[in-house]
Amino acid sequence: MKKEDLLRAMGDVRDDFIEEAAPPEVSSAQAKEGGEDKERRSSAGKAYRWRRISAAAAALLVLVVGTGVFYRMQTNMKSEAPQTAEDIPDAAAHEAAEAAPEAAAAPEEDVEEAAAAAPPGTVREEVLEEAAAEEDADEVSDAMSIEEFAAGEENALSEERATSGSAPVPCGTLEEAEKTAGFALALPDAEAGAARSYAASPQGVIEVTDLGAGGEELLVIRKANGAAASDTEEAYEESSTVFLDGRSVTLLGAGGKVMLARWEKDEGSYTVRAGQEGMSREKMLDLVRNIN
Amino acid sequence: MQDEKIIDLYWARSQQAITETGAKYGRYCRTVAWNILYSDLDAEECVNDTWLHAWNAMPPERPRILKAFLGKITRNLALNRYEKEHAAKRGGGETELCLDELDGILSGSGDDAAAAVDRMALTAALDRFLGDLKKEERQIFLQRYWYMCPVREIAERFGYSESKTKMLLLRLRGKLRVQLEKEGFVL
Repeated sequence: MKKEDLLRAMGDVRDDFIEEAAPPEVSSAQAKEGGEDKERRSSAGKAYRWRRISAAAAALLVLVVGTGVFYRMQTNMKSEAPQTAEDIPDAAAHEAAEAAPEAAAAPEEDVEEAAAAAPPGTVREEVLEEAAAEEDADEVSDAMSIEEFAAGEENALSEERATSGSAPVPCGTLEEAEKTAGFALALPDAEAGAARSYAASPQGVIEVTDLGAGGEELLVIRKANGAAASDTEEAYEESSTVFLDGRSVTLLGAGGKVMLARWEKDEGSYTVRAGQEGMSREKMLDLVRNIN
Repeated sequence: MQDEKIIDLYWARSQQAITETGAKYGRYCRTVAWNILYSDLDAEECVNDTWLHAWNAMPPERPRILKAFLGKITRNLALNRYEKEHAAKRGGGETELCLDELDGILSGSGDDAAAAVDRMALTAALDRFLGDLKKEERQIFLQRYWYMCPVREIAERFGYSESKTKMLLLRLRGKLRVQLEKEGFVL
């Protein structure tokens, strides 16, 4: 028998074996050029989306702040009386004071323009400083309003989730969580010294959280009915896909550490989130093997 | 499109059969060919030849698993091309490595002229060997010796180190050797 005979005979083995063993459809060269590019494009795409969102938020902030400043400027120009000649010791200042009513009479004019009408060293600097101080105050107050608004939205969303019953509620044991969610979940044991807690929702979600001695989150395992929803656009630097026990597992992380693993199996979706430090690829895949 | 419908198109002698096959399995067949030939151009030619062979085969063939059926055609075509180019000292890739590894199963005592191998019997023996393996072992073995995937890629896919994967393949080859000897094959 020749080695070529063996290789050729291998080609005719059972079709179901061949189908079962089919690797992801990217060749080695394509993996070097296209696959990595695909991963880079995926990361770049996510980064691009974040940049777009950030740019849109920045534009909105400028618009709101600018509007607030303009409004304040208009209000101040209407209400504040300009400095009179008696208050200004020198003639230049006196001239500036006389110029000030002109600014007040033209409320539409920019503060800069009004101050520019006065000679330097007098009212102009004071007006500019005041306008700058007001601008800062406005920016702060407007920025805070936006933050408050965003926080309010988030609170509203959390409340909505809680009241709609979709958020998992604490369960004393895994059995209780399984009963609440309506499905079973096989798990590896918690690490030595870690405290494990369970939560579940009748909408078909189980969450298992392991906390360290200092209360830090070590691990969060989540199983949900149906396909995985991308509930957050998380941009990770590194992304890879592993074919493990008949499932395609996506590993996301940075700096050689895995932060998140996710996969789907039998109409359920799974995620495993590591603590802040992430974990090694081997460790994550060991966990994945033992979660069903 | 479902495989059944694609096969029906072949049987109806509709050109759409080729279009649908290309759309669904083009990439798969290209991967099979590329892993053997390591050349985009050669792989593309193999894939095109696959469609021609498939067209000629169906009817009367009505494969149960179209993907594997097409993959086998592509693999054979690619190996034929590889042997031709290898003789002319061209090409490269994993095929030579796979052959060397499989050579380790053979004792080298078989007389090439005398040992006319019953290919079908050998395939049946391989089926039995593969059927006895755990699913993951079978997948790894076939990804190496059917799909000619590099060991590094297989290791990454299954979450093992490269050395662990190599050891596993070595162990499986040893197991195959024992089984073939037991079944009376002259190695």
